[in-house]
Amino acid sequence: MVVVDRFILASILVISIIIAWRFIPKEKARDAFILYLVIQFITWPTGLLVVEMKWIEYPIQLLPDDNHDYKSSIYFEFFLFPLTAILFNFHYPETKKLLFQVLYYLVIAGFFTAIEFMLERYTKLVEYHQWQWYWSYSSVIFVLFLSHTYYQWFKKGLG
Amino acid sequence: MQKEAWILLILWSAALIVLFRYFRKSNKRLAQMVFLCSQSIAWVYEFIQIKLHLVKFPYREFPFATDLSFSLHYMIFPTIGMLFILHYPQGTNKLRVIVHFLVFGLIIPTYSVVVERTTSLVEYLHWNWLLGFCSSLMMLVILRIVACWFQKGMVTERE
Repeated sequence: MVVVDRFILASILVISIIIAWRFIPKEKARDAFILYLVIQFITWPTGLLVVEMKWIEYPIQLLPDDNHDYKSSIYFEFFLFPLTAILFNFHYPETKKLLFQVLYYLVIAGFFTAIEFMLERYTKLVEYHQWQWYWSYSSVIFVLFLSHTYYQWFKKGLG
Repeated sequence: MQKEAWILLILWSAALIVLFRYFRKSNKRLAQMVFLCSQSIAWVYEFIQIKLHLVKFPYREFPFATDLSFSLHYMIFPTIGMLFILHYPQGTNKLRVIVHFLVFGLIIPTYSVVVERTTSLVEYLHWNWLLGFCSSLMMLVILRIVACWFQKGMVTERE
């Protein structure tokens, strides 16, 4: 099943790149860039920490010896998650009612958590040890919130 | 505490003091963007070093999760990169620009050589000061290019 798992991982990568290329408008390249960077700023230490504490494991990585020197998931943390956060921020319903905004958070974070949960269930790409899906869910919501708050502020400096 | 831990503690404190000062200045958005961007560049750089078995980081922050040195790419290089961009000489004096590159290009490899000789924070396998100097110049050039591109989309800040 290693081949299938790697294929899924490669597809996630390709799909993320296509989505990024098609759905990030050129004039918003800088906005996307700063969002990407600020997500990394958070996922770097947290991603490493959860692996270091052995809460989560990524038994299969894209390349056979990736786990040898970097056991955290490069593909979730630096592709799928930043992309989700970028699109989340670009389409944030600023003018809508608070309830709608809360729902927006719950749905997007839910989508992301659902993907991870499925991957944990059916593949060897992610294994939860002491981890629970609701930890992912709440931390994703929190990180989205941080990125959104930061971006709202940073945007004022972008022409 | 071991001397490695002391060195990291001192470097983190120094970096945080510098960052705290610069993140409050009028061009704080640029400062933060450059800081975050340097993290990525330094991460890629370290990742390549590790993949090609050029250096080793025997004493590191996440010994199980990764072979990379976390502080180096997350705090130390980014702080220097930020200072490099924010103090980049204005005007067209070529000599000043060259001196600026040389001075900042010297910091990382020199620190690295000293640390390799005296501690177990870094261990050179196929690496030396000159390679460190050339690669750190390269990173500074990349950083400068990205910063110039990003600044084109920024409004001049006056606060």
